[in-house]
Amino acid sequence: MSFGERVKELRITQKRTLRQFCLDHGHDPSNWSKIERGINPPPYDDKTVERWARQLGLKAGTEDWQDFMDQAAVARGELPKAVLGDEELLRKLPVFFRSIRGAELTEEQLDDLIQKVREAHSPGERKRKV
Amino acid sequence: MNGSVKYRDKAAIWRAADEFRESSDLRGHDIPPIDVIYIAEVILKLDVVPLPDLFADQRIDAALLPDATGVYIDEDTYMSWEKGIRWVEQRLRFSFAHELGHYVLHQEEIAAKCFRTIGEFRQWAAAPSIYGSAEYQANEFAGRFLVPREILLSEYDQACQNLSNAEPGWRAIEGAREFIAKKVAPRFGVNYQVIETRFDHETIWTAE
Repeated sequence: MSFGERVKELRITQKRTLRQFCLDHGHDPSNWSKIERGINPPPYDDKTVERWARQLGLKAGTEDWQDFMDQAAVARGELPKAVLGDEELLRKLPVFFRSIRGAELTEEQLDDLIQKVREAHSPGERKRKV
Repeated sequence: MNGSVKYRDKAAIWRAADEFRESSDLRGHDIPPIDVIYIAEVILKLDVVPLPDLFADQRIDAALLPDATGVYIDEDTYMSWEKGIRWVEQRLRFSFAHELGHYVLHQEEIAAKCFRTIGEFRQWAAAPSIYGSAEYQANEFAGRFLVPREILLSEYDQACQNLSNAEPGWRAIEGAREFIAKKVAPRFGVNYQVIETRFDHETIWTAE
């Protein structure tokens, strides 16, 4: 699901029409519609994305909140902050991307690869290596 | 462009409108005045694409997106919805119900045509065929969807009864049909002309 689709889904979960949501929170409906349809990218400053997340009913610190922030980063063509902050993971990314490009992975294989990368960086995995 | 549309008689269109209104998805949202925008956006999850000057440029309030995934809407009209401007609300309610008519009745035909612009879609929708245009069918759907027959008959009987009590010979008075339509219309949130059309098409009180 794209960032825009997620925004629309969260708004509909609140049972608010585009007009009602925009009036509630002071957004321009035309621009908000473009966000939902993926025509406009998410804002580049985290504060605004966090404000949107709150307006869409997400609670800071939850998995849904983090996913929302990650989806915003990906929609902007950036790596999520959590990944950028992990130097070890960052070093592995070129190999990861090369694997994806070369292999034409299925969805299942991709999930498996992502899981392996995650495991490689989980505290439990590190302990075993020590 | 070929303007042909599958033949649907009034009974088929009415049945489609009634079934759509009475579907389980619309439960709780099927009592007039029907909130068509909520139905389109929240229940059907259609995209709404506000366009500035859509009405000024095309003389329409709304139009189904070429891929039937959403509705273009005149931005000013959309933002005026529920603001108490009755004629705007009435017009937009019917316009939106009309687009829902295309969505329900013509989705396959629209998908097959692959329209690229609103203009192409409008040309197709308005083109006459032997059995009437897509526009006619969508209008008939909108009228029936917004004005359920049973509720209309009930409102009509009540309005007639009230007039009979005051003036026994009221039916012979010029403009009586329009007067009754104007009495009944607010219950459905539509213009009185929509009610007059229902009177006519459903043979409740046909125009002379």
